[in-house]
Amino acid sequence: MSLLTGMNPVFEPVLAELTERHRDEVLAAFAAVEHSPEPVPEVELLALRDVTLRRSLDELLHRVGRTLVPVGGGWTSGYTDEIAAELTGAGWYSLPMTDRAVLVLVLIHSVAVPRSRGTAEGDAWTSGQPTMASELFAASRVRPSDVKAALARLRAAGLVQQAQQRAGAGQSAAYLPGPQLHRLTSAARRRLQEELILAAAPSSPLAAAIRARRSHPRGEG
Amino acid sequence: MSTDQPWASPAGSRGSDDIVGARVLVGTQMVDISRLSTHPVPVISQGLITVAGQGPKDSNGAGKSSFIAGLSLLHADDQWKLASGASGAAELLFTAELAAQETRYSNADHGYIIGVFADPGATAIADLQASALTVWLRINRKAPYIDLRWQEGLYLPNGSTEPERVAQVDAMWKDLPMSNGRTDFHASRLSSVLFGGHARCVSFLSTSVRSSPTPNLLAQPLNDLSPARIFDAIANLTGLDRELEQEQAMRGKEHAHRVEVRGAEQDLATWEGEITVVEAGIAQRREARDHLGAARAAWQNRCARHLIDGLERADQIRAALTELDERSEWLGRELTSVNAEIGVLSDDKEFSSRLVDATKHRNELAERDKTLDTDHQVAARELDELASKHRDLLDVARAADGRSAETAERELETVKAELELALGARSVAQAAEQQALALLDAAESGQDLATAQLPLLDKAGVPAAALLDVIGLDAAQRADWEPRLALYREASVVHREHGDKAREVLAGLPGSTLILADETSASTVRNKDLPGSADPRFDLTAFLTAIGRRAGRSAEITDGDAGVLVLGGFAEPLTGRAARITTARQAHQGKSDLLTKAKDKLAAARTSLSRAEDRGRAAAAAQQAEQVQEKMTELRKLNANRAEQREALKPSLASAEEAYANALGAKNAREEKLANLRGARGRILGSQRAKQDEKTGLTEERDKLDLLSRQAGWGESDDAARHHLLCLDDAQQHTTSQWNEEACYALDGVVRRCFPDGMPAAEMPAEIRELLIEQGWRRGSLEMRVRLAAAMLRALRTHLNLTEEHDRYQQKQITTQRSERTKDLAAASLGLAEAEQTCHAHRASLARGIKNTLRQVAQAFDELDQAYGGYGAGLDYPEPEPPAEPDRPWQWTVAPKWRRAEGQRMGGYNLKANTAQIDEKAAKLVCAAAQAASGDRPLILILDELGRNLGKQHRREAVALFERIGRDRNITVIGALQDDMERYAIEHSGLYIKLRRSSDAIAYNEPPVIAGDETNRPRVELLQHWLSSYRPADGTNTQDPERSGEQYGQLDGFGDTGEDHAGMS
Repeated sequence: MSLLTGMNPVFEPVLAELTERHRDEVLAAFAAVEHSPEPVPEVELLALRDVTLRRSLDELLHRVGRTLVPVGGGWTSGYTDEIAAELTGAGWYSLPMTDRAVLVLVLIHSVAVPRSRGTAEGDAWTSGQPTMASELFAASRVRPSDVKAALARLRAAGLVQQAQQRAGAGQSAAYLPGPQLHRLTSAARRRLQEELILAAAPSSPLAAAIRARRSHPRGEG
Repeated sequence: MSTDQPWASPAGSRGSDDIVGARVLVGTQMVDISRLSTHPVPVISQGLITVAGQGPKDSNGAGKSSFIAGLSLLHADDQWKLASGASGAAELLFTAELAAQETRYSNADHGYIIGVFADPGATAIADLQASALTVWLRINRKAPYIDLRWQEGLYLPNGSTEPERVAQVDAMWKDLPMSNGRTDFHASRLSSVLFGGHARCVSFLSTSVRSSPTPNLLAQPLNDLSPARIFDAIANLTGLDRELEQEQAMRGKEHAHRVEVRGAEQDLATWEGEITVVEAGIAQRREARDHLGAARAAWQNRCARHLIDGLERADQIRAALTELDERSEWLGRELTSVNAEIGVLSDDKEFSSRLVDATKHRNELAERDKTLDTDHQVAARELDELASKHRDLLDVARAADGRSAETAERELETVKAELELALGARSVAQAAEQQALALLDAAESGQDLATAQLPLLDKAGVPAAALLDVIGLDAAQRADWEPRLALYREASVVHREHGDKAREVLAGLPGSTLILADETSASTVRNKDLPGSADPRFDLTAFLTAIGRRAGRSAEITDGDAGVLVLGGFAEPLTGRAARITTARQAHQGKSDLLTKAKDKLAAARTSLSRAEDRGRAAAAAQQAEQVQEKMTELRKLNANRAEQREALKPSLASAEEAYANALGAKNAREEKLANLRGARGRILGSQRAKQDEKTGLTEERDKLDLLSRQAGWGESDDAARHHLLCLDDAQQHTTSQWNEEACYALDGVVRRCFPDGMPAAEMPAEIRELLIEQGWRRGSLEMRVRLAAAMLRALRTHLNLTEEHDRYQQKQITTQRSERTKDLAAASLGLAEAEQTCHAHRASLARGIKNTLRQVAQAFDELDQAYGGYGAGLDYPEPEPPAEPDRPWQWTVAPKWRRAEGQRMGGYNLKANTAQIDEKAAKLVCAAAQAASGDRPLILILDELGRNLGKQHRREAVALFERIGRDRNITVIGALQDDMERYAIEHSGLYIKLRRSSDAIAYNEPPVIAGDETNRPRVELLQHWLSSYRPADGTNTQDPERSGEQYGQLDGFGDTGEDHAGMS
């Protein structure tokens, strides 16, 4: 298929089955979900609206170890669970300890706490509940300068974002989980939640249920 | 044309879909596209349009390909990758390097393709004007590559020269309304906005314009395409793709349902998986509650049995203790009587004193007897020794020869005096002999003269000799010379030259005398008066002469000068060694003889002495022997006396012995009896101790029974326990340990049900954890479990009671949730079933529709083929299986086939055939598809390099074919021609467009030559006239036909305008 010059031969088997127009649509959607920071609304692209093309898009993504992740009315892409496990196992893309600590703090304040209060629905790891920078400084034993540096790195990576500030004097900066967290698959989201529960309340009934489920793989989805 | 004019309606809403509708392209104008001139070009709507070129050398380089590419873009051909922005379109823009004009012009960063669409049936200017729609595509070098705007009516840049037209174009674009609200539509919406997504164009574009040819029916050899792609192309042309998309959308819904169902199923499965654990826990606890009852009963039985056992045992112990008390009392009495008996036996003093007396008496007698016996023995031994001594003395006394002791003494004294005398004589003789011997030795060894000096000189290597040894005197000379020389008896002779050295050597010996001698020489005259020299080394003439002179003639005076007188008369010659040795030997011999005589005398004296001594000793021994004899006699007398005494002692000793033996026997009997009694007492004490121990053990056991705690464990009265046990049937009559085992087993069952082995300690209640883990119930022995059983029973009961309510509530929840989730799943499944059914039904009807359409296409294909020189053709279009998954494509395939010769069977399209034939069939297939499409929409076929590989006759036929197809079927075929095709094409084409450029030095084309054939010429002229008539002021009917005609006719002066316009861009 010399027709697809400039395209990695990895994609050719998938693209060869498509008509000219559909190929364009699929490639456009591929670029969109891979490079757009936020999830791409489904209505915007034919390849996301149409299940057949979406399947082709998913196959295309699978060839590079990625998968489509549904987010509300849109889609984004993320690593498949196996690939993610393999990558993390090999130590790829691992964050420094401080960054992880700060990210976890943001997630706890912005997602875990509202969810446990019942004010946040669903299993997404993004939320509208901002975490105040002052809270981060107060709640962690990491030095404030390190927290700031970690926040800068996390923002650059799209793992946190700065929240829109309401007008008001004397408010410190506020942070939200970043759009990259949309790229977590449902299994990854659930694992994250379970790990948080196991870490936060190891003797709770929830943790017991998680352990029971993990020891009975039949229950895993 | 239909009466309802489809282009009128969307105008109001600036709509978004199919704004062109059934209108066809009537003219086009391109600005800054490749090197094309900006003149408006009229286009006919049916038949064949040929685009030829006239470049500097041949037809190449005139921009034919760019022109038709622009037309295909205007008709939203999919090849441009519209969905992804049609970036390839930017390549159509004027590029200075490609035009070889980079030194003069810059690249165009945008350009325009303007198309005028109008009702194909409009023949008058007014009709045209009324139905006209001007579509502007702005092509940008950077994204977005294409902007779309349009305007009803004619709206074209006008002007007599290139610069005029170019100058207007940007302003005119700005005046156009935005197509999509605040922005413009871009490439992705081009097809749907302009044509409602209908295919209006099938094109084959040469690679010089397109970066990569994409497969479609015309662009690729037909036999390179897969049946699926052929179907896609046909579906695109016939509008089936929209139907299929609808079907796909339905499948999408079905898929959504299916996802929902799958989600619900998965949800349910996950939930079930989780809840199974919970339910198992609940069931386990329920079971545990039942088992706990059993355990409790067993434990109660055990407690009752335990209590009763304890009570019985306590009774037994009490009885045994009483018995033990009685027994030990009896033993106490026994002990008292034995003690009394022992006291009596051990308290008899008279008996013991009698025994002591008898023993003493016997011992005294025995002692006396023994003493006598011992003395007797001693005397006997002494007698023995004396007898032997007496014998020896008698032997010695025999040597005295009858002398008495006094006589012998006197003789001995005499002999001793003689011996003394002999000894003195011998000593004198011995000393004389020694002296003579020493003299002899000295003479023999020559060391009798100058004994100290000579060895020293000899050692120092100085030749020397004693003076007397050197001088030899004959007998006549002795009398005179011996006195003279006697003074120098100790002198040594050395050579004169050695005198100093000799003095040094003998420095340590004061008094040494040295006489200096000369070397003996032959010439020396011997003086007869002087003594001769016995040693030839030394010549003493000087010395001898000197002393001879001093003495003078007198024999009396030795040294007249000094007045020394030495007496002569030596017995032996003084000088000469041999003479001196002889003298010494004779003296020695005399002394030796004297010594021998003295020795003999001494030996005789000694012998006499020894004999005298022996006689003295023998006389003394005779005296001693007499004394011994006397002593022996006395001893014998004493011994006889002792024997008598012993004999007298014997009877009294025997009686004492007997008395003692009797007393001893009595004593032994008594001792034995006492020992017996003491043994009896020990035994009694031992058994008393044993009884005591037994009693202590029993008491301890009684204390250990801990009846109080047993009663507490039972919880009721003792009688109740007895009653309880009596009520049990035979099968339940267990011992306590059996009950222990049973209760613990049951309890352990409950524990395992509530808290399985793998359960982490953190999840247990504190009380249970304490018992299970800390106290070690799990691994504990039976005794330990029995100890913990009561607490465990209580803890478990508490735990189970606490969880009971919660379990019940949870069970209820689970039931509710299960029914809800099942209901959800059922609802989703129902939805899915409906969707599937709908989809299935739709697919069935769609399949029918598709097959119908394809049949029509096949029919049209056959007709076209037969009408234009073929032998008949058809299509294979098997109905595909519906997709297994809703998101799988439902892929149809079409395989064209045709007869290679009259009456032959149809052969598949992918059989090898000549390329001309394949291209021809492809064109026919496209036309057939277009024809079969309902609504009879106009279609444009664009072919670059028309007939590129046809032979002469085929070219003609191909061109004719396209012309006829186009004319008959509402299809416009636009073909770009190579030079050599022109002559075939001109006669068949409805419109002939020739793009011109005379020199490579010119950036832009000259005005094109446009000519219609006989049929189309009026329309072409009309269109040309109309297109160039637009004026911005009022926009209608301001015409300047002569001028425009003149303009198109002119071939000169165009280059200047081109340059100007390029300069402005």
